[in-house]
Amino acid sequence: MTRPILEVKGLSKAFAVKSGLFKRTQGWVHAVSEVDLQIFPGETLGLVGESGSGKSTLARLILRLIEPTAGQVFFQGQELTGLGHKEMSQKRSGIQMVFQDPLDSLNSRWTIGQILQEPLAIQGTLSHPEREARVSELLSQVGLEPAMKQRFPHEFSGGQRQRVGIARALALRPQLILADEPVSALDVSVQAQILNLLKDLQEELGLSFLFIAHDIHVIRYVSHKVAVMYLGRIVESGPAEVLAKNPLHPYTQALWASVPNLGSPKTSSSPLPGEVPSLIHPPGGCPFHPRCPKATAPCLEHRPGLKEMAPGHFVACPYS
Amino acid sequence: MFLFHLHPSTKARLYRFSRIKRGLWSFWILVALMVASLGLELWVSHRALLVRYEGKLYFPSYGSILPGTTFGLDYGYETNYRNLKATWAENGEGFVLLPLVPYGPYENDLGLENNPPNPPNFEMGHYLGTDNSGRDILARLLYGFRVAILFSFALYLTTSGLGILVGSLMGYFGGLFDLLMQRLVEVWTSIPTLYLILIMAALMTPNFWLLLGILVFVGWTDMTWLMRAEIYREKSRQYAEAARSMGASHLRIVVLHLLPNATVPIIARLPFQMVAGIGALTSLDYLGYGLPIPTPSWGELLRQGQEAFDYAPWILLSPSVATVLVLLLFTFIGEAVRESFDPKRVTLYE
Repeated sequence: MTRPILEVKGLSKAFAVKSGLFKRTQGWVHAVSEVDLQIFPGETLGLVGESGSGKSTLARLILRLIEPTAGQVFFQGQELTGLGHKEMSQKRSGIQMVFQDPLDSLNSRWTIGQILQEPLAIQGTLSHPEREARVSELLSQVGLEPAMKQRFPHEFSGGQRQRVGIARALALRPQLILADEPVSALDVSVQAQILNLLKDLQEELGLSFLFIAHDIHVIRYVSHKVAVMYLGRIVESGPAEVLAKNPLHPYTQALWASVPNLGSPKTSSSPLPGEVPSLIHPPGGCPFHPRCPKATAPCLEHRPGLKEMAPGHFVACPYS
Repeated sequence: MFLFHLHPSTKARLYRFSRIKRGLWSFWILVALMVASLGLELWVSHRALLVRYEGKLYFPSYGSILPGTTFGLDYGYETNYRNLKATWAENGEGFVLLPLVPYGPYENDLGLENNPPNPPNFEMGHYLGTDNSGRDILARLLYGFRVAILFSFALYLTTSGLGILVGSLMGYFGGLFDLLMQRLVEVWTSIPTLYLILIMAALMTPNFWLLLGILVFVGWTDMTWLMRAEIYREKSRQYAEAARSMGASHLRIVVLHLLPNATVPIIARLPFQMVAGIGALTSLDYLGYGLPIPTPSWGELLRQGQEAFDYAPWILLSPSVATVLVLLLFTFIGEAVRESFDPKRVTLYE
């Protein structure tokens, strides 16, 4: 069995809620709790969940843009958590990120050429002409004209900007790309182009992806494996086809049922009752119990762990 | 390469500024005045611009003084070029070219018939008259302008520099440092400037650098809030996060990414800070706690003018008009800058 390129063990992050003159801690937001996941070379792990479920925080924890409260991250077998600032900076070239808002993630005062040269200037040992050549190569790799280097981000369309964002992520020749809702800010027609670009690049360069989205169609289209997050925890994970056909966790089932489907006329799916509970005071026991149709007395007391129901298919619900 | 590339939004802002005629004209007038004031010795001075004597050319405007003996006179102190010109005009021994205003700011001209102050006298070249000590008012006004401009500019640069540094650190690092600095700045802001200057003036004679030091000491906090807020906002944007994810250093992120996106308030403050600086210096001079006598200064002229108003109203008139005009011009520029740099007008973010 091949070694995972990324392995996350028990990763947690709690943000302190502070207020008052001296900013005393009033409580904690448990954004991500005890997440375990693995990504193998050349594989896309789709991470799905509703807003506030901790998907984006998880990506930032992996890159240590946010420092985790607990847990470990291993990249190519090396632990990233606990590395010093300098060593971490060097390691970052292996993992790069594509951001949600392509306009906000590009410095509006810089030209595309400057933006794409930056990672090379920070990390690389390339000379100036070599960097220029690499920028042209990157631009054609993502389907843009090398002559566009001179232009500024605001002169591009949303889709083109996201291509620049992808080109920047590719600049350092990473093995893993964390894509944080890379298409949710784009038009549907443009989304497909960007998704196909990512798939092509994966094939061409052998990249691994952690692909975050709240759109189930998008996740199904790109992912080899899928993990479902709820209230900062992974409630179900497994191969994409298995999860698509046979979701076991009541939350996943509700999520899948909420997707309009042209094929089947039966649209009797009832939306989940209630709201996403507060992350400051998460419900005791199973975090999903206040909204779960199958909840019983033990669910209020005891939080079920992930259990392997089929090979590679993990579910955190005893009634699945 | 980052600095010399004018960004389209910068171009748009400059274009908008150029469309606001009042601000644009004020800007050019003040720039012209400031540039001219840097070479003030060539316009207003008791020294000649050019002297030709025995086939040799002299340029006395800058450099060490030329004693009277240089030009065949019988004294060893600095040549009186106005007398020299008058003498040579009769006997033709040489040629003297005097500046437009042939008086220096420190020079007491007691050669007039009446005791000073003397009213404006075009024949003698005292276009705005002389003050209580017989010094040319126009000369003192212009040299005072130069001192005030340089003082305010130095004040702006140092307070902004410190404010940007501390404010950026507060905004970027946040946390306990930010918290403690916020409280410190709040306490610091309550230091009474005037008392401090009065106390310092009692202990030592104020000079340009001491006065600047005191005003920087109390004034550096102004910019910190602004920069803190700007950097705080900018650093949470995704482009800053992207830079971090590439492994960019803190210094690189702040200097190359965040600060260029936070320059608008720094620039927009300049004209108003100049107004504040000139105002502060003038009022301190007026109260007698400013630059040491006999530094040419508007505040000192205002006080003289007020004291001598009954018998020499021209002394008060010139510095009052000058102060109002210059502060008005700066305010016009400030208005135009604020209008044309308004982020609501020119923005790249939806």
